[in-house]
Amino acid sequence: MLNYLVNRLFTSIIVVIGVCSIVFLLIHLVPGDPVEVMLGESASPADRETLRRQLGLDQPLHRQWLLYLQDVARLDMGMSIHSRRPVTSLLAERLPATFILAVASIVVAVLIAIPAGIMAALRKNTLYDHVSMTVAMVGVAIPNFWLGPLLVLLFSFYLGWFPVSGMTGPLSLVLPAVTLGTALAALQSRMIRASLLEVLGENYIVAARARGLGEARVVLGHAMRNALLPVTTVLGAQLGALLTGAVVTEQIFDWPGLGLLTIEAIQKRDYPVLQGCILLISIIYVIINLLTDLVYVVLDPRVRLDNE
Amino acid sequence: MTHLLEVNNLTTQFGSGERVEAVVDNVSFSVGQGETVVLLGESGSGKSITALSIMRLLPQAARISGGDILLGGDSLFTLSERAMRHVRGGRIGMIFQEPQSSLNPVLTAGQQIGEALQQHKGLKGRDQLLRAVELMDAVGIPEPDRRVHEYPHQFSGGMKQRIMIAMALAGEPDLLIADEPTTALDVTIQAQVLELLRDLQKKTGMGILFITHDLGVASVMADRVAVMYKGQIVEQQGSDAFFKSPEHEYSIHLFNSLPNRDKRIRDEKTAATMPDRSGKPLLSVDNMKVYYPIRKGLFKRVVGHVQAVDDVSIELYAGETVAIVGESGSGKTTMGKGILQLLEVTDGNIVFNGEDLNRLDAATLRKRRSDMQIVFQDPYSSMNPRMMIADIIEEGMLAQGIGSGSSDRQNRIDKLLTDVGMKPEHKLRYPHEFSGGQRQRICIARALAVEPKLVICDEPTSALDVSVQAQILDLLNDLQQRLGLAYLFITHNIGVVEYLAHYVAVMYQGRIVEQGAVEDVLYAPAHSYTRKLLSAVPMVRTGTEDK
Amino acid sequence: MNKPVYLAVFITALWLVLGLMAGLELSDPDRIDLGRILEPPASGSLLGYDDLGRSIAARLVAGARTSLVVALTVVMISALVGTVVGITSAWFGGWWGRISVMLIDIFMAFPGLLLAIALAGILGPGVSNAIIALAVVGWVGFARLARAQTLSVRERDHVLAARAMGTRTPVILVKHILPLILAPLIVQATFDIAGAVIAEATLSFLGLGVQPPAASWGSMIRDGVRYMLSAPHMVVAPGAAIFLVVLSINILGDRLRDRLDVRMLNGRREPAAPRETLA
Repeated sequence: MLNYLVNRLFTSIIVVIGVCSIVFLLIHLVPGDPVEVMLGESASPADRETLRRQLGLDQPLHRQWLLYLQDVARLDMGMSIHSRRPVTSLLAERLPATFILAVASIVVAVLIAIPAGIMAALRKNTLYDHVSMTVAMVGVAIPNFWLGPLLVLLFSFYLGWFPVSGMTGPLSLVLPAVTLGTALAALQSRMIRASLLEVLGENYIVAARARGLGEARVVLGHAMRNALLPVTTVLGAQLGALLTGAVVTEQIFDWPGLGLLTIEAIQKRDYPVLQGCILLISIIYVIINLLTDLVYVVLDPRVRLDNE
Repeated sequence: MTHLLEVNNLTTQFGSGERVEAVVDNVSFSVGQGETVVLLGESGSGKSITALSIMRLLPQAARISGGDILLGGDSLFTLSERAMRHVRGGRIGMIFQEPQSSLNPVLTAGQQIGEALQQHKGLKGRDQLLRAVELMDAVGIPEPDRRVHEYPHQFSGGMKQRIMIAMALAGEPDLLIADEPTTALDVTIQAQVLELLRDLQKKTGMGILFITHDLGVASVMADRVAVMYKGQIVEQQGSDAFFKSPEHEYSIHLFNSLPNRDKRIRDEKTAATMPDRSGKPLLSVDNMKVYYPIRKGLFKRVVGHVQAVDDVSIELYAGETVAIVGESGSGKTTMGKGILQLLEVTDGNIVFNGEDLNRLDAATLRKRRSDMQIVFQDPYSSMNPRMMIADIIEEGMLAQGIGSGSSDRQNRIDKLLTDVGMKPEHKLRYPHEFSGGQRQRICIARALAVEPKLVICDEPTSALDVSVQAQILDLLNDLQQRLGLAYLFITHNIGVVEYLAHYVAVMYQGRIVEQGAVEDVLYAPAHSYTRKLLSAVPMVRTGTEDK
Repeated sequence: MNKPVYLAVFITALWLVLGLMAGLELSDPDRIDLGRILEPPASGSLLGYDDLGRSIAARLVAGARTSLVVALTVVMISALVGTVVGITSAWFGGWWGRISVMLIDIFMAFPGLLLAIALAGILGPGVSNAIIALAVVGWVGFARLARAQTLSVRERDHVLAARAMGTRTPVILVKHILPLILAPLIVQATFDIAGAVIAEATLSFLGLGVQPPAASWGSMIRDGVRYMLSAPHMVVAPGAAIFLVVLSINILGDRLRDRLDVRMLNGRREPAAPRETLA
């Protein structure tokens, strides 16, 4: 297992370096001169030269790349052009809001998905199954940026239960979390159902029944754990989709997280901040994937005890 | 007297409405205390469905439509599902064909045995663990106190089946149903598991319903034999009587299909006369090695090698059959693919027709491929399911530039199909429309399309029923006589070697431990492994040549 | 059970027809009628008018064309590039195999659309930039799937038999590998079309897709949110369009998966136990 972990960690480090490199290259994809784009045409030549030097754009490309990697390693992501503050502190300020939103929507998703998926699998082809899977199908197809405004219209404008936008206390979390969690809940419940049904067809399930075990023991003791394994492997990717969804959801609800910062940075052409946001969210995602793989290893003795 | 198990007129159907098919059709038999009844039949005969009907664990599409099953005089069909759970694992234990997939991969051996102990004996905690260890010891698993905490993937195939047996015994059942329990195992492991079952039966006095397709295994295990064919029991006899004089024509057909020395003499096949070995060999393999690096650690350093094929040498002359016999993992398939340069050979000379294949450049090797072909074990994966039979057979001709044009190649395809016992019109169909045996014939036709001198047969009949196997072996024999082909025949089946081969090489852990003429090696084995292998093969007690 | 499928076929066909028809300019999506600003749906106007007095029905049709063009182009480019990379990566291995796996891993490390959002933000708005941004993100899924499928098909005996007959590598890849991995790729492409419809709408919603006055369902919602209370129809109509098209394509994808008997889970990563590493 140690071997696997070391390998996995090593891969992740290379991936992070790759991600940094792509994020580094982003600024070179700006059409025209990035300095001019950022400062506007009216800026004085002296200001441009200063910014160019600050961004290291006067250096040859490979040197810029090494400098960028060095800076990132020192947690230095440059200064915001707009607010003149270090990007790192801007990110630190915005991270908690996104974290709270993400955790809340995962909780929403899990609370719905696990019971719904299990029930649908056990009552395959009943009315319950058809209804819940239709709802899930709908849940997957509803885009965040439509669901959010509709929820606002209904629960904030018409019913007045929750605030329209902003981060103003526990109540303000409800609509964003539901908006963001719906798709994940729908995806997860479909997956849990499919996975459980597949496991229930395995030979060891027949063998367990042949030992006279009761249905509850067969499902909970034998099927569930195996059924959750494939669900775990795609969980990372789904949480990634959730992070992107957060960009949209924060925009809708004016939620002061990393997603809103990303869009603000794009609008203000504040490229150092944009780079910082992309880098931070991606690294969080890499870590999430690493963690879900660890969970998999813990759940599956075939990987855990592999001592080759 | 009342029997332990009585099956009366059992009928089990698949499907519903118009498309009902009786997979088990009016079947009656019984199993007494301490008795072993073998249910013998080929695939699709309904023997496994009979077992699942007894356990009332049928797949959803199936249902029992008639008859009764009595266990110790009580009908199983009138029991509630709750009561039935006490029967399963309590009064009837069951073991399956694939121990690999029959064990839950995420639970330890001890936990899975423990479940049955809790369910049927009410044992918990430390008592449960102690009893699980005891059971593992009883089924011959070494170091049970340690291994009770291990997971299924940490056990070998034979050990997994022992765990299944321990689980089945946990409830101290009166009857054990064993559904092809040794089919997935190597022959030496099979011998051990069969012996274990017989020992356990002696100790506990349980009845055994033993399901198998293998006449040899039946011969070793049975007190009585019931032969199943197309859902019906066509013959039921005491074991001695059955093996001396099978009555039903299907049973006789099974005996006649069995490849062995008797059949070779009876059929007067080529193998009955030894070929001429003067002159130069067609293929000569010298000190061939196939090593796979074992990589470890961060930078995948090579820390050692798996010696899949280790210093192997054989010779093969035109028109003869050399068998490579060995158990799984012995390196025999690797050797065959290595000879054909389908995988990288680490070292050695492979001289074919005077050229060292190991040192040919890619273009020359591609041309030489018309002289040497291969037929695989699995007739399902060895053809491209998206291609028509005609295209499958034509492919090699196109690659090798054989045939003067499209119509010439089509004529050749027609002739090839006829040669392997198929019809020319079959060429416009797709692989999935054919049975396993037919597919194997097509694969042989494909190999012959490029007019090879050597065909490597990699377990070509292992996936087939014994009667189909006999037909394919027959075909291979015919083709050898007509076309003067040389076969390198890779197999685990000693009977096939006896029937078909002139020479045999025995492989064990990547090495050839013994080789020579078939008569010498099989009837006077010199190496200890060969003796162990031969003694493990379950022999059918009495032949049918006197009939 | 069949009714939803027919409905899905109908809606998808409608999307295709409207998307193609919009080019014919049957109704002008940009015509401004100052007298009808924010007019709700009524008998005369099926879906009402927006904040500039433009017909929402006409803009929906124009939006259909945007989403159709973007989705199909993105998925075609992604599928082509991804499949070629995946198959060659698995078949040839070696340094190319290592580099391609590393690239796949790195591109997979950007969650969902994030990289596309950043790219579109940097390149500037516009249909072609949106297509570039989405294709840069989209090829990875196909590459990963094609690679995994090729690795397993490669081990089949029929491929070995072809090699044993001296068949050339390009022929093996095209005749013996590609047809067998096509089914899961087609299913993936179907789901990806739905994904691309949402992705395009997302970019447009964030102001990173088409530029005004061109219409996109996403930008229609963006414009409508400001008038939520007074004119909810501005948000409801385009959202319903996206939702119905995505739902229909997903239903067809599900059906296709069952029909082609493709076993895979909804995620982008196949459920193989230990992930292969690039070291």
